[in-house]
Amino acid sequence: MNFPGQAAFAAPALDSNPYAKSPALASPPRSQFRALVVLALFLAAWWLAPVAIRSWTRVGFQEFEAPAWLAFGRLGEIQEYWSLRNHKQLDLIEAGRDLARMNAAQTLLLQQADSAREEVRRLEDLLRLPNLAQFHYEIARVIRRDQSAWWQQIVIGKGTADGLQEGQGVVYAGGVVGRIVNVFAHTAVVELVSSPGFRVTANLGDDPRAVIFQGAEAPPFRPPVGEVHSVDLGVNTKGTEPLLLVSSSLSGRFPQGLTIGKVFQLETDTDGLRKSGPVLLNPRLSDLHEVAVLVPLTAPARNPQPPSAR
Amino acid sequence: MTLDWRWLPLAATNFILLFLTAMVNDGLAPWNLSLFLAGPCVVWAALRLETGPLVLCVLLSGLAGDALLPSPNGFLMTLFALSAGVIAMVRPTLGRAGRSHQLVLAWALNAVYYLAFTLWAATQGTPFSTAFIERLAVDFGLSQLLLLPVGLWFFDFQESVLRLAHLPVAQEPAGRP
Repeated sequence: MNFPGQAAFAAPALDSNPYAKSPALASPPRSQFRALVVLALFLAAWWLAPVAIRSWTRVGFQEFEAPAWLAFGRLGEIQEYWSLRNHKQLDLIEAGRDLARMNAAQTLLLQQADSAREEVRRLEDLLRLPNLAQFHYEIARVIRRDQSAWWQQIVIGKGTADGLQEGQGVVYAGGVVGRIVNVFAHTAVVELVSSPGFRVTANLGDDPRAVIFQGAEAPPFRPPVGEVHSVDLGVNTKGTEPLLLVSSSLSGRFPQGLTIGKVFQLETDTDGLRKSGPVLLNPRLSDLHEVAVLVPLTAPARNPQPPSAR
Repeated sequence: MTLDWRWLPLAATNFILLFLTAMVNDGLAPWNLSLFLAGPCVVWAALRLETGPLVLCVLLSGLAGDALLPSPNGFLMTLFALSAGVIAMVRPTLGRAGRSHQLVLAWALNAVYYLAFTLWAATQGTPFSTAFIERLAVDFGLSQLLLLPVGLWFFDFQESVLRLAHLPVAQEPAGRP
């Protein structure tokens, strides 16, 4: 659409602007609003469209992009492989020896864990207690970390095809990582424990009273942090020695006793009824490469009725 | 009337920019930093495309970007559409926008998008603590600073892709001086 008196554009000079020079053309003509109106109508149609259509497009685009991210993850693995290839043979022999020692120590710990598990099972039967939640660990590679001021999440390279579901807990060698918030065929999005939207029931050290942990924003170049709330007034930090914040089985998402972080100070709330304080999380949380998803074992309950009902 | 196929490579380059930004953010995560460089995405398209191809470009770029973010599906697309609509409305007054015009637009749009995402985060219950504001300020400053070289590269990249696809780079929408 040409305006009156205008020739079709024919490679004019870069700085030519007749609108600025001519008072008659100083304001944009009505037809220039067309793009804005069309885009506004298009947006209205989008936001009024059924939720199913919108979620289908999201899943479609996610699945379309997933191979690119999986390839990016593989690229990281190849990079790691070649960096390991550059190590001297002597270094590798020493690393192998250290690993063998750690392996022996871990084997002993596993035996102790097995006997403890058997003891728990025996006591549950004896006391007719409901089963403790049990999990199967699904190991997954981290293929993308996205930790902005607005959200803190990672994307892992396993999805519904591997039995993952929304809400499942995610852990690593240093403790709790977070929970799955979105799951697709071969990828899943994990909200990190440091995300302000993450809340979970926890315990301070050996204290059986439940407290609430919530993620918090950390300034740049600092390790991730969180906050602990609803702490009983009787709980105190011991000088410079921190209290260990661990997961509680009450959450149903994590087993009891996994490390969340350390609490160095607790202050009484303004209402004087409870205490709260900052939680220092493991700095490795920002640099995760491999995690384990806690997939609940769906074993049949041995004691469906609580003892009081009997 | 034949469809202006430039929208397709332009949408692809937008996706490449968003994907590369996400890759850089993956590397920056251990320092608790992140970049937001969506500003240049619709500038070139909004200055050069007709309404139909522009809508297609915005739709594809926006939804591809939304799939990378945890915000509601269509949030980035809405921001892209509104900014593209406004640029298309004022483009006669911009003349044949050179690189400097494009960079200023990208810079302004990036700031607007950043503000929009911050407001969205506020609605999700993110507390405006000192640490949050400090993090926002550092991320925003770094993103705006890097937008200068990234924007220059990106606009050249878009034109190179169009040339590679044997599509006209200098073609303007009808009604342009």
